Amino acid sequence: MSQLQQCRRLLERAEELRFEDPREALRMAESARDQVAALDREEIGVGNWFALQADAWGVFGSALRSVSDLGDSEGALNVAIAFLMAPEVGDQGDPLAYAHLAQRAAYLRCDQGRYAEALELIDEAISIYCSEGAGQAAAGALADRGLILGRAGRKEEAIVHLGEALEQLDPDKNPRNFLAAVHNTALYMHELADNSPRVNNLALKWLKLAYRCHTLLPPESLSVLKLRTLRGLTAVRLGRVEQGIDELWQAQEGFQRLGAAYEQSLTLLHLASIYQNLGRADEVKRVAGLLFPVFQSLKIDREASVALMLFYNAAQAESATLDLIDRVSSTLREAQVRSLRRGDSR
Amino acid sequence: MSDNTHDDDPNPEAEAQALRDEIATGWKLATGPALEEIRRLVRKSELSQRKVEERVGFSKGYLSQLLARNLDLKLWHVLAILDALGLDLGEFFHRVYPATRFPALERFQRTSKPLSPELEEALSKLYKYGVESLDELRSRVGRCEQAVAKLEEMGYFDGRRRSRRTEGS
Repeated sequence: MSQLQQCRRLLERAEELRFEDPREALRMAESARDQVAALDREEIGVGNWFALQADAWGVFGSALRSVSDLGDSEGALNVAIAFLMAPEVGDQGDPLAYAHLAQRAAYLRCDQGRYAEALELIDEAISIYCSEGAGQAAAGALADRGLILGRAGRKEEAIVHLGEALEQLDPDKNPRNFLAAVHNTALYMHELADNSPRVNNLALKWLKLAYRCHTLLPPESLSVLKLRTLRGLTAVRLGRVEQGIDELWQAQEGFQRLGAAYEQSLTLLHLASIYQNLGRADEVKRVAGLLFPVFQSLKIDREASVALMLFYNAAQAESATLDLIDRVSSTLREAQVRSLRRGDSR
Repeated sequence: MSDNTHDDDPNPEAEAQALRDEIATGWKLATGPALEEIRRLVRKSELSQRKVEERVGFSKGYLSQLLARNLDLKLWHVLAILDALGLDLGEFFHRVYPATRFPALERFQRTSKPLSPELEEALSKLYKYGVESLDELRSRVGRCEQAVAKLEEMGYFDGRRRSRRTEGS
């Protein structure tokens, strides 16, 4: 295998691994970036060399985003853009490469909570894909548009976009995008499901479909564990409380093994709410105790720590309330957004 | 405590404008594609470099210094050289800064923070200083930071203005 092929393989592997093991993906992306930089410019052609540098920095930027280092992710994507727009490339750059970068940048802006900019970037990517006749890539980007709208709180619109994307996505050619679109539809349907029994029923169908789609993934992957949380919450909502609680415990243990402290905290807080509703004060106390070390590993800011302390003390005195648990959840979410915006949680 | 930076400065508007001009003309032209285009035009011209210098009123060797980046290429240099070569300014800028093809990506660049020291170090280690677009990215960060610091010092940012108003009220 030539050095060039080896670099391309490494970049593909780093990109794939991002969804299963973000830290390993980052290590691999960094190594690929260094190897790509060492390629001989004359040997592979100046245009190819620049395109490959842009690709490597793009993959590296996305890997940084996956471990929540948003500051350096932004920097790496800017380096990728600088390579792609270099005078040496001129007008010869592959339009699809611009679209891929715009898509990566859209995800980053979405994580930073800058949704208007994220939508502008994803629209640019969709328009390039369409004009280049890249139908599957355009459908994938349409699903991303759905995700951005959902994260911005526009869940009904998100579901419409995801539905359109799913009509066009070919699961054989584009399995990851297909899975993500089904997963996100199930998630937004679940969040909207309180409103009516019809929506509730539909949410359940989407959840089952999402689970079927994920059977090929490892059971400990982040997306399967998130679905497991969703399945636990749905079971509780449908009255199968013990089954739901069991699912949630298993999900939180999986998150713990993966080191996904934020997801683990949210699942524990779901459990605290359910136990509180059932009046099982001992269990609330146990969950409050478990939350402490997890919060510590998140290096969460003072406001969230104070909220947790209040909840913990109330749980010990058996006087916790649902409002108090909701407050811990919302301060945790806000702290996470603040931390992502600062890009300092690496 | 009062902030009297503004009061000590006889004409902050003019100084800020000069700084903005410098940002818009000086660094961009010196490091960007404008210099390359001027080089190309001078090479392509039937006039010798000396003849161009004479027409513009530059001293002997001044043009070579500009083209070799030993001197900063300013907007007035470009205007004078194009005039001496009998070329159209609009056409020149259209060629150097064509209408953007990817507005969202370019806005992303403009709204991004400077590179972190870690990334700067990685770039220096991996590419040294042979890639022009990266050199530009680096120098843009450095010069923008200086300009921003100076504008801040002069009280030209909203945050400073707001704080001054608060102090005054």
